[in-house]
Amino acid sequence: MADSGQQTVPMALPVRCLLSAVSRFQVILVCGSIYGASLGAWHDARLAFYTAIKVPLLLLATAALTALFNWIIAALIGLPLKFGETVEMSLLPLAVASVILASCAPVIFFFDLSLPPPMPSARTLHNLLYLTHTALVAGAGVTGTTFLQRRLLEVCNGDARLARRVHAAWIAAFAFVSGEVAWILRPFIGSVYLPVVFLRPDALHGNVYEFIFTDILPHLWRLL
Amino acid sequence: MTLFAALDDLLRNRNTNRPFLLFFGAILCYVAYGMAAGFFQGGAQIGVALIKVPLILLGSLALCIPSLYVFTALSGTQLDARGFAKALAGFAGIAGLILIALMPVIWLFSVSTLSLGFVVWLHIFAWLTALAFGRQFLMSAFGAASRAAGLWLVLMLLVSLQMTTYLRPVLWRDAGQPLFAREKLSFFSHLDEVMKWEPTKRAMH
Repeated sequence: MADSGQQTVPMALPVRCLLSAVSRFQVILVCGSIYGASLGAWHDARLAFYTAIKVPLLLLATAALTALFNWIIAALIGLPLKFGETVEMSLLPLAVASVILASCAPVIFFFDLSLPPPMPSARTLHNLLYLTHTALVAGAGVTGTTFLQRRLLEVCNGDARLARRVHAAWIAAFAFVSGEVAWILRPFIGSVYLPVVFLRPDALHGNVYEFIFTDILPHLWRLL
Repeated sequence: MTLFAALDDLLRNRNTNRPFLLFFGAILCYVAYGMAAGFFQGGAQIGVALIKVPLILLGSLALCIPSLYVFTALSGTQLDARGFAKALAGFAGIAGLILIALMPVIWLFSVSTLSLGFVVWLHIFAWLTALAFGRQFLMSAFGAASRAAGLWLVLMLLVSLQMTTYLRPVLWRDAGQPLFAREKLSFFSHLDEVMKWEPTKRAMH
């Protein structure tokens, strides 16, 4: 556009909100709750309330459970950070992801409102929603990690190799732990067959990776 | 500066100095396009379509504003609120201009076509064309965040399809059918229903 209206301002609000660890924590709480509410709202208000609690819980629990590992592994790889710095940086990708997810919440609420409600015949729709949310969370997460990579590059004084190694280790930890925490905290979208609960009775009976290796993969293998 | 001068300035120079005027101009374009679309059934449906089409487009835009702001801000755009409003108005204006440009064609096919499926695909084509030109505009407006703006357009397309389903029926309403359908439906199912619509129905009416 000829007159693009571009005026340089220090930083856009979503970026300013991510500057300190405290504000990142607040962003995760608020934005995670907004997205969580939209996630569960397809099922009913009760699940929306539960997921508004569970999504920030998932993100913060993942950060808390990986903080020690991240701190130690970074030092072992060659980046001795203070523990506080590790926590502050761990929160960055989660906060970025929360902001992105919350920005999609109006759209998700609209789809919740206009799509057929959950019932056994809506299984395909449920699966489609599940995949869409998974892709959305994955996309937001990947975007969040690019911010982490940039921050790590700053901390590593431009040593791209070191930053990459620390980044890879942290992302692996995030992915591994968040998968299990999400499994324990399910349901998020809610089942079309089961009643709404905060946590499933079998939440701590078996982990997600056991489920993948003993249930999903053998099932797929039999289909081949 | 008049409304048409603002749209003309946008068309020729990509000038978005009057965002509110542009928004208003865009709404008028949507109304005109909706009117042309309503000629598929004709009669009262012209009035229904000229209200529903702007509702669909503006509703979709309103729902997608937060995501556009966040996507582009996180991608490094340094637009202030006024710059963002200008970019948004420019996008709405460009989409409106494309739709108004296609309006005579839409009108022609609307009055002469029997198949609802055909006109629906025609409208989808028109909307995709508008989005494609809107994309070009967003790319230049958001600079570094052009990829994010492109991603946002996919979201905008999906929301507009679902909004059309939510506000249905737009093009054809059977006798006694309410202005807004009560049954909840995904846009996939809606499109499936539309494709199963019998062309003979129109001839019978």
